[in-house]
Amino acid sequence: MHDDELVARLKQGDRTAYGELFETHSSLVFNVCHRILGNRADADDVTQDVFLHAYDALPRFRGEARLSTWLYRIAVHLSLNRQRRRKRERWLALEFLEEPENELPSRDIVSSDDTPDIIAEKQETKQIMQAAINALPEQQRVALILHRYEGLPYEEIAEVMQTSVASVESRLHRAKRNLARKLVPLLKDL
Amino acid sequence: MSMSHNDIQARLLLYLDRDLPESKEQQIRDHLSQCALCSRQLKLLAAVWQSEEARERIQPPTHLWAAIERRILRHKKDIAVPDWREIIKRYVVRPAPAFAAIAAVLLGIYIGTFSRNGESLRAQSMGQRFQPGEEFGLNQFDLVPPGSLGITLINVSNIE
Repeated sequence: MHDDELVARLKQGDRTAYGELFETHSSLVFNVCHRILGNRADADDVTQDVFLHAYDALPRFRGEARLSTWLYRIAVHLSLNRQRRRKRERWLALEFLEEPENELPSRDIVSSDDTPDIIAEKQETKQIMQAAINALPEQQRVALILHRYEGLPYEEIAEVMQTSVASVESRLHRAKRNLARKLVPLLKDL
Repeated sequence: MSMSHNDIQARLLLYLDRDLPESKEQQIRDHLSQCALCSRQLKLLAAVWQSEEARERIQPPTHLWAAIERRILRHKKDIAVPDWREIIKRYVVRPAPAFAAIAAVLLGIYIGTFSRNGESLRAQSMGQRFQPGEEFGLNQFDLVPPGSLGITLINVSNIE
């Protein structure tokens, strides 16, 4: 009911409704962008793009899916586009020969009580996990992020990715197998 | 059918999440009870998988809403009154490579057509200027006087 009411107000051009949309869904959009892109700067840019795109596309929104599902779909689509563009730019600039920069753990996960050893261990673990997830094929990576980190059920993931539930299950299954294969040799060295 | 170490290790995350059929889970449990290497790897994976889960969601930056509002205002203005620079970019600069490609193709066709026409024109003009023998001015001289036997022989050989 809340979604329907919000969409109706948004279509009427109610600016406070747009502020409510942002407050309710900005964390969801930012987190999924950050998970896919791996850094705050790109996540920041793409989150803005998502809400701008939503602003343009709202008149055409039919309400068949939930607002959050719709926003997830836009966020995934724009994040993947940004990532593909970055890869092309790195390839053209010959930066693919260098290691990509790894972002430090955010303040949210590093506690003030952590010793330098623990901080370093958390950073290493995060980098290992991020590298392994980034190495997954695109569709498997997205399915894993939406299920594991966003907590979406299979049905909603299928709506976001515009595929079937069986396909989502298969992608998740393969994602976890591929992830385990990549993580095991990396963790051996820890 | 027994599984190899690689098969077991590939399924460890699925095992941790209980995403396997019971028969496969049992096979892995049996293997882990006898294999120190795979047991250790399971512990390492569990530590990483669980530490990820415990991580909180990241808060979006505080300036985000202000930045979005500014972009929406700018966007509204662009839609209402397109900037002349934007018009030039949209209708001239962006399609320029396509226009250049079309122009190159048309030029190539024109040059190809012209060069073929040029050759046939040149051939025609060469043909009109000279009949065989004319280029050395031989038509100016009758080699054989008209009415003579020589002319009759030449005419007979031409018929053959």
